[in-house]
Amino acid sequence: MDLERIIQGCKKGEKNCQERLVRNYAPGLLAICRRYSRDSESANDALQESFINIFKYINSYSGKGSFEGWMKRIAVNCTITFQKKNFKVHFEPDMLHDTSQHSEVPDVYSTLGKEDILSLLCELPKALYLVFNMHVVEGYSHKEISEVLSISEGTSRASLSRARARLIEIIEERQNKENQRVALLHKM
Amino acid sequence: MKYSDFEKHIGTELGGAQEAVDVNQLLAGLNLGDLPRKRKLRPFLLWLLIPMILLGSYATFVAMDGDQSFSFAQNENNNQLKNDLKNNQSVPGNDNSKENNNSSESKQNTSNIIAAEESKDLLNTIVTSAVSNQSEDNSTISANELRDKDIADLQINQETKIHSVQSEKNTTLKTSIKKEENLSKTSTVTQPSYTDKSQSELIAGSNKQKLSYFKSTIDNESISKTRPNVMLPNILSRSINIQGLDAKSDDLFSRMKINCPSFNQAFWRLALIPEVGVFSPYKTIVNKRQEDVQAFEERQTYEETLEGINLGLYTMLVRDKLPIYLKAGISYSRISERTDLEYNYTLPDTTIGIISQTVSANGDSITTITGPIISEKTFTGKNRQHNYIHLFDLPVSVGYNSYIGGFDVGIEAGVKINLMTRATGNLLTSKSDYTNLSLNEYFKKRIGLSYFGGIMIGRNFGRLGDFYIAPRFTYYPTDFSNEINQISQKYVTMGLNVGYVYKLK
Repeated sequence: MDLERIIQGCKKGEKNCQERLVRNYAPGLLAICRRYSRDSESANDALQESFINIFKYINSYSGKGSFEGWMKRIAVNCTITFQKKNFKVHFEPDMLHDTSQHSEVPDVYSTLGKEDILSLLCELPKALYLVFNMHVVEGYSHKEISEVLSISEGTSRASLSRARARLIEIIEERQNKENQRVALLHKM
Repeated sequence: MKYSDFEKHIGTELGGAQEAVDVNQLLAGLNLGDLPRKRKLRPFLLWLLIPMILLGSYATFVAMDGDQSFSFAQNENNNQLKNDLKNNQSVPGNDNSKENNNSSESKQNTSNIIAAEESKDLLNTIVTSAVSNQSEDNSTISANELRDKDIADLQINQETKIHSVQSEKNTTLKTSIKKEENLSKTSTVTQPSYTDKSQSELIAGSNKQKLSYFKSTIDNESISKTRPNVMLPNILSRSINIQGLDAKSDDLFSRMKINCPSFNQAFWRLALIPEVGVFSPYKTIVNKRQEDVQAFEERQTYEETLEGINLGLYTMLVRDKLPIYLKAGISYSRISERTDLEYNYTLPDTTIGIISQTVSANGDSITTITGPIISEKTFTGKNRQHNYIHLFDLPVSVGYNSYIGGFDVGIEAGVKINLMTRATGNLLTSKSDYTNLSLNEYFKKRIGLSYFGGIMIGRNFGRLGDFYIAPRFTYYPTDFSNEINQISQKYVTMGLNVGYVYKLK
């Protein structure tokens, strides 16, 4: 059953199409919900809420653009809304000059797996983590981030700059520790 | 490796990530089925909701407050309740006889179910009676709604409340209650105990207690709406009926609003902008008749244009993904003029008087000649007066906005449609005299169109919102003076406005 048929079926409320949609996309959406949730319980809860909203609003999907992207955004928005009480984070509106794009990262980081990347990102403050994830991973524009998080575009940009700077700091700290460890091993 | 490449790696790695999910459990939780068509809550229904809430609140207030208000209804319906009671009192008796005659468990269950159904009927009667009482007290609570919602809770709540009443009233009922309780222990149906309890309550005739039922039921409902702290399996197995989703989700109080995107659909957004500013007007006055006009030179010399003020309230319309905006509103501007007239002029004065007198040697006057005596009086002094031109305009503009270096920078241009022009104060209309402009019209009542343009530099200040400053140029091509005024008067202004953007949606 192709995606177009599934979408049309879901619009008509056909159970088998809805089921197929859930089976096909639940793993991907759960990964998104996990990234924005504090724990697996609330991630599962958010996933269920996401599907409820997907079925509810599927008639508003015009057919243009990526359906998967549409669902992913619902999942992100849904999880963030779901978690809003927990995400009492403060966004600093000040701008920073973003120099991170010119920075160098050790080559070993190009082979990092999903879990390692997540553990790296989890060291970011919550607000920065949110904006970084939404922009870099989900591909949200600053305007979209500002709407979802109820912040200004400028704040979103500033948070992204901070997130990048902090991420580079974290990588450098890790690298220094690693170098020290290697040096210690050589001495021994 | 460059950082930007690392960021791409993060995007690729996490973007396509998947997590293992128990799909079957999720599907069970979603309880998929036919979806109803999306139903929009019409505005008038929303408006209808407000009086309903008010009436509902009033009814609740009356119910909570009202021993007296309810007792009236109680007396009226007492007979009916008693009749209901009599009818239903036979039910447990029948059950008892059935129980006595038949000891088998299946028959017990059957009688139990019958009792449950009949007790449900009784409950319906009670609820209907109570609701009819409430409706007489201007309540809008629907009997059916109450019945459907509260039956389950009533069944649970009654158990603890009625025991005390029961013991006082009817000894025969006691036995039947015990039998019923025994019956309920042996059967899986939990409803039978209700029948006896409700009967005993009816015998007690305490409608107040029934009211407290509803109150407590409502309280219980409201409490149960808070999110329970449940474990993962409970969450996943939570049964959500999608078929009834619309009705539930449209409830303003039951569900969070989730911002669901719809691709390729841009929305119009509206903002309200109060604005205040000052401007410096540059005036040009021209003698219309090209001949000597009184006060033209004096006005050129002594009249000084002061800073003006501008107040405006605009609505700004922005379309998503477009950097262009449309702004329209109402604006008030005041142009001030000050005249520091230094006058120094001579006025001839002619009077009739003695111009020649002939006096004799002893001092007597002989002849007196009278005639015109011409004298000149010189007046010097200073006189400061102000006049004001008030402009009420309808400005409409189009702007282009861009985000540069942390600031919203835009350019805008537009036209002001003059709604009304008024002049007050005193205007120099001769070399030394002023004319009150409130009494004499020297200016047009409307000056037509004027044009303006400028730049806008805005910045977001977090929770405070968006503020901007806007240097603005305005050109008034129309002569402000009317036909009476022989001196043409035109303006160009340069100003600085400060605005606050209040986003409506």
